[in-house]
Amino acid sequence: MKLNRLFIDRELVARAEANRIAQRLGIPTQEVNSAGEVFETVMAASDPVAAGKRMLYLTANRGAFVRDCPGTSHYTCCGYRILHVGAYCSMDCAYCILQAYFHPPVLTFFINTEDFVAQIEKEFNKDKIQRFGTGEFTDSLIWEGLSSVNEELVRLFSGQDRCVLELKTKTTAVERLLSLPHRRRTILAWSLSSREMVSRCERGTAAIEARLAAAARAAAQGYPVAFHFDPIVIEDRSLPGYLETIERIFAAVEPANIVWISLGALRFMPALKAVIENRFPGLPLACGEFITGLDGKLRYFKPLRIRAYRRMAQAIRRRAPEVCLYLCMEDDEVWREALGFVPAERGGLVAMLDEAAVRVCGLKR
Amino acid sequence: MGSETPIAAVASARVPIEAIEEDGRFRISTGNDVADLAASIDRIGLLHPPLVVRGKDRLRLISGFRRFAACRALNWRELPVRVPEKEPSLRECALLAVAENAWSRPLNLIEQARAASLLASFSPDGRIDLEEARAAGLRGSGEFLKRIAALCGTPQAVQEAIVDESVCFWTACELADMPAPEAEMLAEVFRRLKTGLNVQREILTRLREIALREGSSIAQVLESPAIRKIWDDRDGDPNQKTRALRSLLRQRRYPFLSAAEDRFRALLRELPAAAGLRLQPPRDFEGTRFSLQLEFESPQEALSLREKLDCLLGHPRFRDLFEGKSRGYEEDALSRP
Repeated sequence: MKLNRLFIDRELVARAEANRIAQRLGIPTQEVNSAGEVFETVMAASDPVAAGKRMLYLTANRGAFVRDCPGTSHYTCCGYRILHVGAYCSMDCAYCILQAYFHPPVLTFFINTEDFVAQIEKEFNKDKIQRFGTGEFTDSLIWEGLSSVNEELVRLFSGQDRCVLELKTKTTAVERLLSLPHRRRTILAWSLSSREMVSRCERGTAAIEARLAAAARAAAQGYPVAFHFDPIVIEDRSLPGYLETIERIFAAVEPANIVWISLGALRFMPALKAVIENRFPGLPLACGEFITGLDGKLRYFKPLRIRAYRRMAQAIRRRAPEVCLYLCMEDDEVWREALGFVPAERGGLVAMLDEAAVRVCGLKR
Repeated sequence: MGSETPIAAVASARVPIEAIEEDGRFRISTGNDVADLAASIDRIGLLHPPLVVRGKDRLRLISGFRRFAACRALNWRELPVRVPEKEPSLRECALLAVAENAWSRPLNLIEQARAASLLASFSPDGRIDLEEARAAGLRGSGEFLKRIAALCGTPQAVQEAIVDESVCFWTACELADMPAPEAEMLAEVFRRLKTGLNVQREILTRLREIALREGSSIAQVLESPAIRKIWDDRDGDPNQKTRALRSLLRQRRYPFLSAAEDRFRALLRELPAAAGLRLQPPRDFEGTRFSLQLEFESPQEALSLREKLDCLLGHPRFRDLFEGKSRGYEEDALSRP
């Protein structure tokens, strides 16, 4: 993480975690009275989206640490629960929705860990299988080397049997986690794409081969792993690259150790289109055959999504027929046409994923 | 520059016309035809003498270029002029030229562009002082004035299209950022189509996205035979040309969606047609719900529609609407249209 400025909420400067992070970074640090001061600095930059990636704001999460996935109507959601440990990302992917999701976007990390732990422990006491993750509003592993949040999470989840934690990343920063006693209650997951898309659209992320090598190391240490092809970019001749990555997955990891693989075609709020065009000129990412989906987001024309999913699903099933394969935010028609069934036939998507977590991670109902 | 030292205090003089040279940097007016103005001056006289400043050897004209040209066309030997009492700086000359034009008539976009550019070029940091611009009669935010000033850099053909209002302001700003040949070509397209802002925006956005996706340029897309044939037709009705171009660009921008719409229309043609019954697919074929609209104005008409509806629902091809192939989900429908 290449940061050039650290902001700390004035009321949190005395905290040990704030001091630890400031010492590790060794960059100019400024105490602030409110988020507004940080936002002003970010907004003053010529490219606030990029500027927000080089400044870190340490603050307290005064709202809920545990949130429901913001799934939209009309499309089937995975029922994943978000652990809101931080926001935004230091890597720079052209299609990243976070560029338009936060106003303004600024790398933020919450250091009121005691509130966080209390809220998670409350969730552990519920009598049901739950899947949590920190990779919705940020990349889970960019905080490695800066904070011990992941170590703390792995430790917390290892002490119970009903919940599973998914740490989702485009990095290879697994080293510190490998030796932790995880009891398979933590899934290490990688966002994947094609090699071409990584070089064209993802600045600062690890190469596909490196991500898969990290996944192999994690699996060797007994961690369950997962993979997410999301977003899939549908362009002329883009599919072979994704199929190649699928082959690489199975060369690196045993299917039995894969909890799930998800497929999700690129979709975004209309506001992101202008951000992509301004920040990544010359990239035809926003020039796909997009229509306005039922949730108001731009999505590829349905038959194009079906074709991409169908071919990728065939490739995955050929190598790993038992792996739980699911679509992210699609309707029943796409499920049936692409995968041959609808989630309701298997108890619903939430039940499918819960079952996969029980089977591969050893959760107990 | 405060109000206590007015720069517009002028003295009147009569000078030989040969003693005046035009300083083109200060020209704001886009009009070149001076015949009407010359006829007016010839009959009524010169109501408002041009503004000149003292130059090295001659007087430099900084405002009143059309009046000067008209008087020259009338073969005047002498010209009444106004000369600032205090020798103005170049920046003050710019301000005087802008104020004299902007306060006397509405400026077209290129004239506003010249005025903004003039103020910027003689300001010490290249930025327009908003208060000064307002005092000179130039309205708008700093961002607006900056954008409009850039129009001065567009090729002559583009500027002409802006002046004759074939090209809207938004479009003009987009053209200002493009390579000159491409901007000229687009200006010509819009001159021939005579469309409003929304259509210009749509056409330009589609062209840009098609070019980006196909790895070509806007000029190359415009030069493709089917597209060129439409806009290059000098005699055709502009509305028809615009419709044809928009349709073609949409097909090229959304080939699979367009093919699906064609398939749907072809299927509809096979179904029994009935006036008063309208079958609509889900928007962009994204949802799964079709809609059927019935229009009638009497119970008898409604009853007759019921029979037609039964006929439609019972038709063997009606079910095809809901199946993969007609919706474009089969592999053969997904090969490039």
